[in-house]
Amino acid sequence: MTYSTQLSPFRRIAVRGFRTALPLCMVAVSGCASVLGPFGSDYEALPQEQNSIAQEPMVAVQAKYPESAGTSSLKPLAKPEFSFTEERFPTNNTVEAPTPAANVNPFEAMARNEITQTAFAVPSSNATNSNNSATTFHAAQPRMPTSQAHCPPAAEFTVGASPYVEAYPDEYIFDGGDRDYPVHYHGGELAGLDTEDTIAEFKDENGKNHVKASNRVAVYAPRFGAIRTVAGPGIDIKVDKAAGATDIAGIDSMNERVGLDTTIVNTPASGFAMREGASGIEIAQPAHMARKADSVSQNNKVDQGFESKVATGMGLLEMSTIQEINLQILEPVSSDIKTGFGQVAATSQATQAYATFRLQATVGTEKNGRKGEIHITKEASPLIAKSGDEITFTINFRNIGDYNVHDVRIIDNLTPRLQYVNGTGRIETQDGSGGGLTAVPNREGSQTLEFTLDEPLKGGQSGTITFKAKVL
Amino acid sequence: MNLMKTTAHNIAACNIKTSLPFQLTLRSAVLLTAVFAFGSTVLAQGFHQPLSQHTPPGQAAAWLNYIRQYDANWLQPIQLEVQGGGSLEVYSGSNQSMGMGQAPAIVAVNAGHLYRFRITNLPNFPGADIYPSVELLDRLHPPAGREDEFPIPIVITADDIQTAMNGQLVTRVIYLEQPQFAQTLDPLRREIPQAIPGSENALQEADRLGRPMAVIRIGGRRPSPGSPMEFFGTGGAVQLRELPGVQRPEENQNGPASVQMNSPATIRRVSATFARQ
Repeated sequence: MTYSTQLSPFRRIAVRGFRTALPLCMVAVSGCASVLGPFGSDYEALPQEQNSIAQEPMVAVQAKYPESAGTSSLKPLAKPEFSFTEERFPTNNTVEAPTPAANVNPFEAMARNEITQTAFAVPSSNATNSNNSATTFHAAQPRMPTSQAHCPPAAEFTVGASPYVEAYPDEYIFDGGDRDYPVHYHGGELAGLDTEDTIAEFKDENGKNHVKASNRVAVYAPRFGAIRTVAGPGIDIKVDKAAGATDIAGIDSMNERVGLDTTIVNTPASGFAMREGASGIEIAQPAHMARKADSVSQNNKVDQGFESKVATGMGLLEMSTIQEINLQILEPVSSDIKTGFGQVAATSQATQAYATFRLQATVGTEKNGRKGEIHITKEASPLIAKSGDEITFTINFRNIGDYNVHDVRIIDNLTPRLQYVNGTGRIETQDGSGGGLTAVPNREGSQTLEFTLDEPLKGGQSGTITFKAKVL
Repeated sequence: MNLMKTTAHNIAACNIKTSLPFQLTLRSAVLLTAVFAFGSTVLAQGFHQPLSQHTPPGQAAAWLNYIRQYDANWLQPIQLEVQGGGSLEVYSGSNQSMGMGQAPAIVAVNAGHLYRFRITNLPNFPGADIYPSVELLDRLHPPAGREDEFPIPIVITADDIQTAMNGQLVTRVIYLEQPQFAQTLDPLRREIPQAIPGSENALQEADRLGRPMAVIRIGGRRPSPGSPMEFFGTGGAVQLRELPGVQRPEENQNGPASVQMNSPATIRRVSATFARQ
């Protein structure tokens, strides 16, 4: 049984900050070890809204402080597969994620079992000097579910025949991933599908569209061009001046007049009145319309789930320097300052802390399974080719969720140097349901292959698409 | 631009005789014309490219070698093809041949150096021999052990030979195609220029389309007994390699391909390598 709990905006920001401060995401998967990119686009970091639950207002939290500050505990608040995480940060403390030692490669260390996933679930140093509160961390949500049988690489990951793929990309043909502008929906239409892109489009159990990009494959296939130019006395003809051209240079062709009669200076003096006399100087400064607001009239601040309203400054100031109506408001017209919580009963001498989630405040349905999601990987064989060779591409897709996904489309926008070999497309799924293939020309002179599954892809089900392309 | 400046000045000087709207119209027209003319000039030129096919042979390679410090142990294969076939010899820094073979042939050379070839026994041109130069600007990074499968292709056509024998200089810049540019520029390669006028910068055009790899110059110049050694190249290493898929003659199957280099005393490097402190 899992419940979705809505975090306050402040805590949500703190959670995101924690994720941002965690530059590398290590995944330990039983049976295989795979390293994903720091911000893999094909995995969502935290399924915050697993259930479509109509919620009552915030869950109530009763806070007391632990007996010994600085101690922390790991409290799994939900099922591991649900990976519901709940971080509680001190209000005025900045919680930073602990980082591994600088000279330790986390990936290698993880392979040596020196670093595990829970290595990040350590208390922050701020917890020791916090204001009588403890910081409790929980293991971060892995970017790849640990129950996944395969180790799909992230979209940014490139499979190539040489380690110099990224350094010399002009020597390779790329296919897969999400190049340039990310694939997205614009006006309900799929946009951002560049050449080389390979994506899986599907709808989850709620009918929401999703797009997942595959990894990239790099085929070493440099292609050359040549520019020829011929130079010699036979063609070296240079025309410096056309026949009959005449250059006229001289002041007789210049007509210039400089005189004051062409300059009119008009200085507006209206609005300025001055009189000198025995009566003195009279200056009129209409200031009765001056209006000034020095500060925000209202400041709403949400602090630790409680709401306080602070109004500082002058809500309205009308000032006039005219003697007759010299009226200056020195105090705010409306001052409403609340420095305390409106509905909190707190004591600084508390010795214990309890947090109680009033589950009865949450109304909704329970979903124990993971939402439907497709992971897609791409392979190519061979990875070294010349013009005229045929390359076999294999696209593996799998629903890593428990719910079915619908309207599954696998789209591969081939680069112009790859030409689809007609009749080589194949779709195989575990339940035997097939699909269709549509190859349409794209704007770059190649084809866009669109594989469509006939049936919804059930949870845990996988499939394979193979086709051949000729290197041009 | 001088003409435009003069015109604008004349119009400005005559503004007394014309009405204000007419003056503004004229000034705007001249200003817009000048902006567009100048802007198109800047866009057309892009940036100053000091190197071109007209720079002395070997200079571009020497500059790149000086900047990038190419690994002298790496030999980049180039495949020399002559339309109709022929015999070829390769020179590097001296008038002594570094090796000979039959076209097409694969010759592994150093990036950042200039080499001179001699091509004779041309079936379509009896009695003729040409001395093309090959200036290797850059290198490839193929998977280990597959280097010879991806040589830089250098093709000398019959038209090249005929043009050279007529006293003209044929320059061909080989570039590695930039896949991204190839897609956006012309995916079907219908409009990619294969020939440009001699007054334009072929090296800059190749740089626009991809990565310049080599410059081949084919002319009618022949060495004389008094020719300087620079004519024969800058002294890079040379290695004749087997052409993949081509069976070597029986007499050449003994022993591995040999690497020949000039003695240090005869090597004249254009580029300089400084020891790191």
